[in-house]
Amino acid sequence: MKKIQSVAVIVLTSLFFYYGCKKEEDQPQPTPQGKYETGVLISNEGPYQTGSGSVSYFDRLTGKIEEKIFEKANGYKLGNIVQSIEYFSDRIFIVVNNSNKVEVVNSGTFESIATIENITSPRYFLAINDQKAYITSWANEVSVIDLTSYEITKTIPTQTGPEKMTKCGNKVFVLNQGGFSVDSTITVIDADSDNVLETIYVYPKPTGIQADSNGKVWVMCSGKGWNGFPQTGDSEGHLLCINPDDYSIEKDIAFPTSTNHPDKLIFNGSVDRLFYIMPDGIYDFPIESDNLNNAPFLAINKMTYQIGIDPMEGYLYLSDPVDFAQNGWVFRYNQASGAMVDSIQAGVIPGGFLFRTPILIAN
Amino acid sequence: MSMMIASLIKPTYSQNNQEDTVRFLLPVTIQSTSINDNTLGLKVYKFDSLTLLSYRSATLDDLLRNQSPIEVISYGPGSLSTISFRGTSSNHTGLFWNGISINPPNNGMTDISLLPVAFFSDVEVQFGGSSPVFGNGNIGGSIHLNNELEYKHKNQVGLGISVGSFHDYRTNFSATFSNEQWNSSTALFFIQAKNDFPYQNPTKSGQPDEKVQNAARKGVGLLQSIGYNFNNGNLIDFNVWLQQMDREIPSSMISVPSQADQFDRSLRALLKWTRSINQGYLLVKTSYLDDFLHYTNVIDAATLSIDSKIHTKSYIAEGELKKQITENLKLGGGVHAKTDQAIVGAYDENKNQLQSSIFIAATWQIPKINWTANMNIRQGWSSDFKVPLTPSVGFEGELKKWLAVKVSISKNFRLPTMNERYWVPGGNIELQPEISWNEEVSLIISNSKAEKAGECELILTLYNSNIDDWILWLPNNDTPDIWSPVNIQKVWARGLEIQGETKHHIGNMNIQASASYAYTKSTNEEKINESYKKQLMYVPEHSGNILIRCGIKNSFISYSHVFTGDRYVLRDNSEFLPAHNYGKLSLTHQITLNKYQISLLFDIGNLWNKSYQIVQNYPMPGRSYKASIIFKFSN
Repeated sequence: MKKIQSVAVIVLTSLFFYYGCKKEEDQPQPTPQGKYETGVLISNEGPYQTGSGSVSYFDRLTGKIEEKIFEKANGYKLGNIVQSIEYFSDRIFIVVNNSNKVEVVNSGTFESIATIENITSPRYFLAINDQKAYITSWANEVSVIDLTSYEITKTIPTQTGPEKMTKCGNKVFVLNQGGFSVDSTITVIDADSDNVLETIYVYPKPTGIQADSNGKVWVMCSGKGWNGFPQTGDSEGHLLCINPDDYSIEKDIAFPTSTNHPDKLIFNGSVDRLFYIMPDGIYDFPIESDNLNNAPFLAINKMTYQIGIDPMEGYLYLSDPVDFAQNGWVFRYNQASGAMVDSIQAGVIPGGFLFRTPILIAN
Repeated sequence: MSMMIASLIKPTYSQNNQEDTVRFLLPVTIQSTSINDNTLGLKVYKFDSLTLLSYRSATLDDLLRNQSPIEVISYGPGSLSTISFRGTSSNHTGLFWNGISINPPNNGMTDISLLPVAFFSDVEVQFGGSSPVFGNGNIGGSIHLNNELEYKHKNQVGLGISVGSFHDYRTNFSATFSNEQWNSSTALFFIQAKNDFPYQNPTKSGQPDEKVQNAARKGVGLLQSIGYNFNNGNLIDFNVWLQQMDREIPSSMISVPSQADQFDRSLRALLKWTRSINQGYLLVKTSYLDDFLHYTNVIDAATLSIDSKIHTKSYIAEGELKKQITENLKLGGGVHAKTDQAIVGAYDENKNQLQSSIFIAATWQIPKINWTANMNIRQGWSSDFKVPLTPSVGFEGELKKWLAVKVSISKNFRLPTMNERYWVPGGNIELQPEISWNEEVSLIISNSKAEKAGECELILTLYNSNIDDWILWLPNNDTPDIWSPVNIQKVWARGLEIQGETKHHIGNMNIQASASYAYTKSTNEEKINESYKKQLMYVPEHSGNILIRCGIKNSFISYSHVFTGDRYVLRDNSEFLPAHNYGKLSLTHQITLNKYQISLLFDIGNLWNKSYQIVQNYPMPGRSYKASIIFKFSN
């Protein structure tokens, strides 16, 4: 592991805060730096139905991984199916799908602050401001959370199976993936009033959403069907670039076949190059391009369950849950060269990455 | 299948009515008598009548978990329970009713929590691979449930009522009317339980006390047999077993309470004709099995629910002939044919399959030195697979007055189930049968062959099995949301079993005790990932049990203790469930007044009130109580 240059840290940290469109003015607050403040947090879903999910902590400097940090800090298990993990304002929000809850912990110590309960199949968390946050739920709604009391203050209806969200100015774009079926819409919510502004019709199974450096919203639609199990009625995937002001689709790039479906969508640190998963590997796409690459940036012949980019070191993180019944692996790749850096043993079904940066050093 | 219970093949011999008077046998009898002489060399357990009486209101999972050393994987009382023999999987376990395999074709395994003990006069447990004798799927072992019909003058009516902790109410009724020609036997059971037991939840903040939710069940069953004895060596009987169970499916303590529901309904009909011939018999069976399962799960009332229906129908025809050819040689053979139909919502259309087989068996006896050897060969055919030829050889012999030896070597197989082939998405039509070679040797040391005071017996068994092309459901590389079964593992299961029994009379008190210990090593020998050379999930390396029973006149006290060692819950063995001990105390008192017999039973389950889990994060009840009364009128 290379020592991190403080200059690079400052640059990358500022990039990190640019991550997301029309950047917000929230400045990092100087807080005491806890044990888990600066590394990479990996959320592990845990064995379906019977076991607990967990959070692993990876220290970039030492290259060491620490398992089950939530359980260690709090003396109880995290819950079944840890879906996602987010940071906001000195707190980590861990969404536990099959336990219908979100655990709120101190981002430095991982000690519990609160548990947000009674959300049906929660999926993803998005902080709106210091007062409130949104959580998507398979009850086909977004729950609005008061970030002081950690109570649900209201719910906003969506289409079927809302998943990832992205905030663009005052608007929140919610992907409706379809839950156990297929949906093809995006719900746009006014983050001030919590009212639904628009339902945008896109292509089946929108799976990834993020805003780029120009303030445009990129959406990956997988298309109907499953890789390796072609059926009649399958449709091809689409990569879309949406104007967040008038919801017009500025780019609509169709995938060549209805048998190989794209999955996920993430941006690099400078938010101008995106990555997605295909059956034969990881593809990249520079946002100014109009054509998809026809060969993978990284050819991978094993399962890639989740993908992430560390804005600090620029490494691509790829997770492999093996058979879902043992500890999984995270493989790190150089984003520029595509060479594998190393591998990290995570928990059962590593499914979420949260890249923390050494904020205090940067300040 | 070709199985024949000793009593079935000897219809002219009148059996003792085991329920009239409780015979004082060992809780389990592991004498060298096998289920039939074709399974020579394999270990067999048979529950005695007092044990069956004290479990009369129970379902089979309860009986096997407490009274035998086999692993019952249970999600809780009333919930899915399956059997794992000697480090194999639940679909490597045969389940037979009067010799007919009742494992449904969609998944090849039976939920034994649905089977009422009161329906069977005999419950036998056979260890080890027996595909050459019993056919498809019998790799780990098999369970044999029988309801025998007797042809002698007898009228008997019985009624059992039991009340247990956690709102558990059960009733069973039986009526038998028989003479030398006819037998009509009826058995009925009702069960209603909430299973809402309290437990402490260690997975949650503050380890709160909680109660199991959504675990109730309600069911009713009927078994009717009618038999006619022609008194010329011909015997015909017809059996119908109808039952349904409506139950809630609880979730694990780490998830939110579930709202899942499952309805199981089955109809099993069996027509059997037995004809005694000179020095042998002819047995013809035909059977219809119909299983319906409806699963619903509401994840969110308004938006998200699962509704799944599985309906399978099987038609079975079997014929078997056995004959003593010379004084020392017995030959047998038979045919078996089965057609299955599956109407399953998750298949893209209704599916059918046809399986058939022929088998031959030969048994040689060398009377003077008490040695018996046996050979079986089975060749099967299937509409979908090339079925391997499976042979077996068995040997049992007395080496000394106090020492006997048993040996068995067999090739066994399991054909992929219809779910494994046809489930959409994920089903894999390319699957091949699993093939296994099983070997075992047992030494039996006993101080006496007669049932008398001071009898001791010790059985040591070493076994080995290598199962190839073991099927696992794995997520697909390109679509992890979809799982497919693949022939991927090579499993090497081997172990040691020690079983000891003793009985004594002290004054007017009878004492019996038995103890067993099993060391089970079952590992994946295929270099696929970190599971290489690791113990299979949920297979304890160490397990054992102790059974003690004391009786004075018509009162009995029995204690059973089960020890289950650590079990891994991940394939890389990085996490395990801790070992646990489970004790159960039973008191039985019988009062006989002329033609009436009243049995009073009182059980304390989980006597030591230990918290334990069989399946990770599924709670099991703490100390519980059950009181039963059984009336019987015989004429």
